[in-house]
Amino acid sequence: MVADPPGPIDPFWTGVDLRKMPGRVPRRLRAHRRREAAGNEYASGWAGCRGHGRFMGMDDVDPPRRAPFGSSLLVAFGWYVTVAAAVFVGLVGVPANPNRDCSVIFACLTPQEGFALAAIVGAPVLAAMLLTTLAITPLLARRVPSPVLAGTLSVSVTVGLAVLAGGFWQAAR
Amino acid sequence: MRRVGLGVLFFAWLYGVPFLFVVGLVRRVSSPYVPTHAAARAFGSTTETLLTTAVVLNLALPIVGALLARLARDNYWIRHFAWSPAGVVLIYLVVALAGSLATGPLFSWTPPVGLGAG
Repeated sequence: MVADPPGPIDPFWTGVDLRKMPGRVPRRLRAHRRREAAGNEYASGWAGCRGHGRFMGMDDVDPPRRAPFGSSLLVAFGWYVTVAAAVFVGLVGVPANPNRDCSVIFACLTPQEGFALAAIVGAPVLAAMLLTTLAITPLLARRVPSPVLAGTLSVSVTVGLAVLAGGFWQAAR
Repeated sequence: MRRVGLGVLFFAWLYGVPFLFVVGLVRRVSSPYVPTHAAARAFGSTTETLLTTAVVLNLALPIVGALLARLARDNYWIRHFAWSPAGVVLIYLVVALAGSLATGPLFSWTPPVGLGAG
């Protein structure tokens, strides 16, 4: 068999096909192969080049179909922390009358005291909500690919359930 | 490093905008102790700044994040910022709902001068 003339495939007549050497493939040849691998419909233009794949994630490894449970739970608990912190910061910023009547119990609570009281009184509700979130998050994380969406959805569902339960409780009283 | 920066931007939107909105809303529904007109105006303008910042950042952060994620070709965050407009619309709906429930304007509101409730 006659060797190929010098060219992009075998420039130095070494008899070694550069295309078959994985580490030494020229960039343009690699791009050409990618375009070939992408199929005929995508064999023109930018298809096969980095950032121009058929799908957004084509260059990278396939995105995971399910969200990681730990990250989803962190996102969910992040919502609780955010809302609690926001309410606290909001209350701290409201000036109170220094000369108000403090003879009635619970009339003159600082935001810190008010939060502590709310935490004690609302502990069962908060615990129930946290447990519900803990139970719902793995179910959602199995179906939703993003931990952000899974955590946020699980908190939304928990809040919805809490509102429903509160409504039933009000109606039953 | 790019990934961390885009993540910070995304979570600044996800948690930061509701945080600012809730802080502003708590101030808006409170009855603060404002003995003078100047104190009332100062309290009202701070509240308005918080709410306006939340509304502006709600639009700005996802747009900036989507552009930066595209520039960085970070597919993970491109996907997240591509879906963030749904959250943007949701937050605006909540703001509109709060505004419709409020007695008086949600923005540019000044508390009445007085001793406050608590």
